[in-house]
Amino acid sequence: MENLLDQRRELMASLKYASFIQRAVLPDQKYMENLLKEFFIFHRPRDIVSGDFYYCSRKEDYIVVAAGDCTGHGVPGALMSIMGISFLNEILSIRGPIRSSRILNLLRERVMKALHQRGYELENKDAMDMALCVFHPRSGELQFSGANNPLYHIRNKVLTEIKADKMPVGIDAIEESSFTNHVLQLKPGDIVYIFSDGYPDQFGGPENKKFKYGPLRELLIRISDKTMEEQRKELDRVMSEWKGDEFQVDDILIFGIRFL
Amino acid sequence: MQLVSFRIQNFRSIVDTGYHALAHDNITSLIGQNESGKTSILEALKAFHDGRLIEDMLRSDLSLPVVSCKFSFAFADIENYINKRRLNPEIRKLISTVETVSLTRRWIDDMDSQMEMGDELQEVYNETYDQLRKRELKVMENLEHLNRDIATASKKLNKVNEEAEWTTEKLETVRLRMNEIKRNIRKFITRDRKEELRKELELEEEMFLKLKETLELKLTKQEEKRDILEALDEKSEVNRKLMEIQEGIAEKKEALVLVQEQLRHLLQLTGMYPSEREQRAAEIKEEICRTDIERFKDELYVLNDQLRIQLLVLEFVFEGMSIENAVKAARKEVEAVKEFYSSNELAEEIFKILPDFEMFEDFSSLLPNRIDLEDIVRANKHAEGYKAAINFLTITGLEYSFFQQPSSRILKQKIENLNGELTLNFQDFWRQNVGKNNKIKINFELSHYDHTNPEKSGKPFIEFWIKDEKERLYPKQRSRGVRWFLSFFLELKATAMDKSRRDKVLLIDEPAVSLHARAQEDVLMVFDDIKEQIQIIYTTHSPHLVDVNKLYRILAVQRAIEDDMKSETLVYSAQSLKSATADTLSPIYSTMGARLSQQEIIKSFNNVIVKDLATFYFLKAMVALTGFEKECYFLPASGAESIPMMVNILMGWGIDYVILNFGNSEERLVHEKLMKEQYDNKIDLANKQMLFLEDYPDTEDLFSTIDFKKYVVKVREGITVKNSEYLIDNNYSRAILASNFLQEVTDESVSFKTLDDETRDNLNSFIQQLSAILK
Repeated sequence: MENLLDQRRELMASLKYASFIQRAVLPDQKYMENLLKEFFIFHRPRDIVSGDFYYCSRKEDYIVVAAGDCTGHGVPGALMSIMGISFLNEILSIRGPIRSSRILNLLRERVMKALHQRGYELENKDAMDMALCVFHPRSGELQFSGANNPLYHIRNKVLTEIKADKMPVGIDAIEESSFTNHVLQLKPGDIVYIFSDGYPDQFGGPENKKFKYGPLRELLIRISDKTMEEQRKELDRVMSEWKGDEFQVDDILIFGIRFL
Repeated sequence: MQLVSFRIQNFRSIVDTGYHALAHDNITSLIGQNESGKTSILEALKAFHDGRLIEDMLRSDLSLPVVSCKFSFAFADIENYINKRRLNPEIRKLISTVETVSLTRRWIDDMDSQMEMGDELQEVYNETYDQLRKRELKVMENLEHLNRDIATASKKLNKVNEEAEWTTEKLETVRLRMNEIKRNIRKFITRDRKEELRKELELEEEMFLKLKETLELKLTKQEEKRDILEALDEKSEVNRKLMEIQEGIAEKKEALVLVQEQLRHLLQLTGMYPSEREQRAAEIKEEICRTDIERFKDELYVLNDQLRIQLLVLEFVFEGMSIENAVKAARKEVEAVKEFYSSNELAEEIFKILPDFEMFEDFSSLLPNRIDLEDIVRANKHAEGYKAAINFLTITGLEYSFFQQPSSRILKQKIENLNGELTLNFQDFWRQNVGKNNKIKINFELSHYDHTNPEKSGKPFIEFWIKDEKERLYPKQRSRGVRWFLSFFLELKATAMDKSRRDKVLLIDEPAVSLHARAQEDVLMVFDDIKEQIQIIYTTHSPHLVDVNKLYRILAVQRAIEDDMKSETLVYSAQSLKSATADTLSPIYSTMGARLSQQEIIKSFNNVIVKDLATFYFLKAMVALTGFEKECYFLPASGAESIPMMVNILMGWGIDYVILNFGNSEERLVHEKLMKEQYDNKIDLANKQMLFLEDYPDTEDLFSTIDFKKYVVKVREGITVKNSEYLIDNNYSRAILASNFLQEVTDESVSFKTLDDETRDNLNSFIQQLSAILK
């Protein structure tokens, strides 16, 4: 028993240190504030380490932001997420046109190569879902590509969903094709939200059901006129209320950005 | 300093070649038919260097030649050599910013020429000259006014003089009449008469007073006019001096023309005198003429200076300065201008550090059997084989002074002591055997003419022998080929031994005409070997002296109207060989075989040279996919390194072409090489014929990774490297993949629509660039 406790302590210490590393590879808060001005990140990992991750970086005149959700959670998800961040960094260092679809395409190549995925039956099928935006502040143009995860865009309390391609970043049942490169023209005050499926998939409420996307959209519309920090607090409050004493089923991540 | 380009105007059949760049690697060949003007180019360059013009070099309209040569240089080359203080700061600034500097030799008449700085600097000089000219014109204008004023003042003075004279006369008449009246008054006593006479006298006295008044006025005017004239005359005195100088200049010029005429006449007769004595006498006269010419030129220089000063004096005097001060100021200004190099002076200074231009000619450059010692001592360049003999002596380390030994016996002994022998080893360049191991020895001996040659009897001469292990023969007993090669070798050796720091440009007219084809190729090898030390420009008809892999070395020379030897000479650079006629390009055609432009694979335009067959297939497929409307013909080379050869072939055949290179290291190197060799790093020029897709390492990189996987390699695995790298890493055959892809495009299994955005964008961008470069 003593042994088991020791092992647990050791495991916890190891996980805590891993979470420290994971946080270290996530973008620095100040760096993000400098780039994005008004934003919030609502990130509630299910375990000590998380399979959800967010990303923010500048490449030339563009700002690249992403919300990723790696298959699984805990340690395997965390390992995938670190891989995802590294690959994104690598891709952004390559010369070439800056397009959201291209970034996801290249990321998929790297994931497939790293996991030796060739479309065979018994091979590793891990992948990640991701919503990725490329924003050009000067023109207000926003490119979006989604791997299973959509983007919500709110302007004057009207929410528009930009649907994602139904394929992950990684091997899939069907042959790879290029991700769609959506282009939106933003106006000052517009808010975009990218997220993992953790929030809508969380069980809770009086009937212990999933929160679902519809209520999430309504919630986001409702709070969209609040400051970003207030929005984060509200999302946190609503989720805590919804979940109650229920077990958190997955990592939760919502990345909201208001463009000025 | 390297000669980089030339321009020849009004030289024999040449009207104006325009600037033509020489090959960057120091070997330039002028090809063209007989009488096309190739040799004229060499001679014009030689004339640029030595300033010597012979009558037949002039055009029939007698327009005077102008030869400009452009040289690359390092600023330090010039600055270290010339007197920095004499360099006009504006000129200095300009020189420090340019990479080439051109000098022009302009003939003032057929005997005389002057060097001036080329266009880069001439503008500054022209500006100064224009200002001076304007000032001179102003002075001349003022002089005209002065002369007019003097004439007017003289006229007025004359008039006043006449009037004063008339008044004086009149006054005298009145005075006489007054005296007469007075006498009559005394004579006639009648009161009435007296009264009458008194009244008459009063009238006369009144007249007298008036006339006296008028005369005084006239005299004052006369004084005034004289003063004016005197003042004008002061200026006129300066003008008279000016005119005297101008007359002096005209006289000197006339004298110069006469002496030049005399010299011209003497030169025409050179070599035609029946005896050596007469020839010698003519040479002395020639020398006197040359000295006179130099003297007249010096005197003219001084007179021109005086003229300049006098003009300035006038300018200052017209501005109101006193003559004394004007003279001082004018002298000061002329001295100040002379402090800086004039265009001619600077050109003369820079000329001293320009490369030496040497002409290798058959007559004086082929080793003779013998040469008179007198010709050596007197430096008689007209003597047969003079140049070769001097080269030989230079190599053996003998100076002219060696032969000035008055005693022939001692000289002979000295030569014997030296063993009079030089061994030359040709084995590095010469593939034909001229002796054992390609080594031959040249002997020289001092002998004397005997009674069989009465005119020269007893006079010493040097005799040459070429010796190998078999025999000892006079140079002329060896084949002309061996003799040519040997003499050429001597020239190179002697040039290499020249201790002066000046670079060399060797001009060779029809080298190795008498050599066997293989030996001609050896000559080309020698050129390549020495090109770092000596810049070579040669004329040729021979296909063996044209390197088809280096057609950028060619300048084609032909007449404007084929077969009309009176039409002007045109020069075509390597890039514009297609404009030259087939006859002009025959050496290239002979080397290459049949005329490519007469077949169907390569068209006369829109040929696109690409690296290899795989590239050819990919591009053909891509062009088909995009529905590119222009016709273009991709020509695959056998690897990137073969592209320059393809370029040479098409250039040689006068076929339009475009070179397409991708950004991989091999093609990048080829691109850079062509950029330098074909286009002299002139980007504008290169961009018209070269398309360099440096962002794409190879053709397959125009595909997105997804399309590349889907349509080319047909695999499902993560590819994180460039498509081209993936093919290499995985040992794929590019040619097979490309050919299969082309097949699929032909079968319409792949269409432009099926490709993703990234591929479509890449292809559209490529096609746009290709379209821009094609016709």
